[in-house]
Amino acid sequence: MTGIFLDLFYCFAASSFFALIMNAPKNTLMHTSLVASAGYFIYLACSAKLNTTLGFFAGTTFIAMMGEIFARKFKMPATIFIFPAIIPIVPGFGLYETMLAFVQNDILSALEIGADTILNIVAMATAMALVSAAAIKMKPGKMN
Amino acid sequence: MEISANNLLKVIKLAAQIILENGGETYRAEETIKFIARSFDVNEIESIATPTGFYITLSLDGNENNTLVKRIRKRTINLQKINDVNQVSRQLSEHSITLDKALEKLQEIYQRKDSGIKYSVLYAGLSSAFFALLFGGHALEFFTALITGIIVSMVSRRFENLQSYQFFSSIFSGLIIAYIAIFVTFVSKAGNYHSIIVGCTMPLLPGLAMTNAIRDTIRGDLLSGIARATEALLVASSLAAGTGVIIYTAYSLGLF
Repeated sequence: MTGIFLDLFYCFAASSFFALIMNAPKNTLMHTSLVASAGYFIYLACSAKLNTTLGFFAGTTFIAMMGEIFARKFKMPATIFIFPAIIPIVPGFGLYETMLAFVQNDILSALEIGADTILNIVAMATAMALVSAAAIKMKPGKMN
Repeated sequence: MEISANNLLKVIKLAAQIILENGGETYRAEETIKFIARSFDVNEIESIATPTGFYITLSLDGNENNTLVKRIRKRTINLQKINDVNQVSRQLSEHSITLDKALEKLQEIYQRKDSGIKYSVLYAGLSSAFFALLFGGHALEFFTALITGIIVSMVSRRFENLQSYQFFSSIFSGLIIAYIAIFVTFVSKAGNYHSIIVGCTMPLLPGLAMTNAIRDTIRGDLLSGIARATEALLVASSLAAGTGVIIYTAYSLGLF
């Protein structure tokens, strides 16, 4: 159980430093990092209980939704909130494992892991697209 | 209010340029152009923006057209600048600042240097280090990733003025990360190089390009969507190529 809390803390720290690299406005750091941790928790929980692709989808949906909400509250572009928060969920390990399998000449498992990783990225993209489309619908013609 | 088309174009150009050069979505650039122009009751305004440049045509009275073309060469990420331009365009549309004041503000934003390179390098290191912990690292991985992140961030700054900046900086970052990770774990005979490599590559992954590709495509900016997706693919595959070469060499030498 402590493992999860440690992971969430690491996620919080990593995404807040990442937001700092990208020069995110200082008053958004706390919100972004908390959303990142919460999204990561949702991702972990869904992957453990249901399945991994659903975990990517649910985590991204949560982060994108919170991003749009904060964007309206702070009157700032939504990207500022979504982009640093989404980074911990991006399947970097899957991409790395794909590359590793190719390097080890294990084409079959490379294709298997690669297809899985692409599916996860597509799940993230779908989640982001759905939330983004819903956000446009709610406030047509107004930029955030 | 009497305004000259030239001044208005100057403000609009600078606003769109800052947005596109600092990682804003292209629809945001187009909307900002429209947003500012509409608030000055312009007869006609049309713009097309892509990640590599934009065109604006503006007509104050409906007879005379002013057109401007601007090529975007350098693209970095600075969320603060995007936010500041957003504020200026809001203030302009509320008429709480004049056009000249807005131009002044935008020029200040455009010329502002990133806050302290030293800090930004340290943040890059710390971010990599915490990602290494997240992917199953311990103390050794943490400190290796910290140093590697700092080195990578310093080296990729050297490439900033190059024409094909993204390709070179990604491939060299990949090389450096894999080299240091494998060297440290091989010499110390301890630790897990996977978590160091993944931790250090996480902050370099094209997350913003991917996010923007989706957001642009949803808004109907198909051209920009494809351009961003290509950018994301280029960065990801050059990172993979960089790390892959070193790992392949290490395996061929029988180090692991």
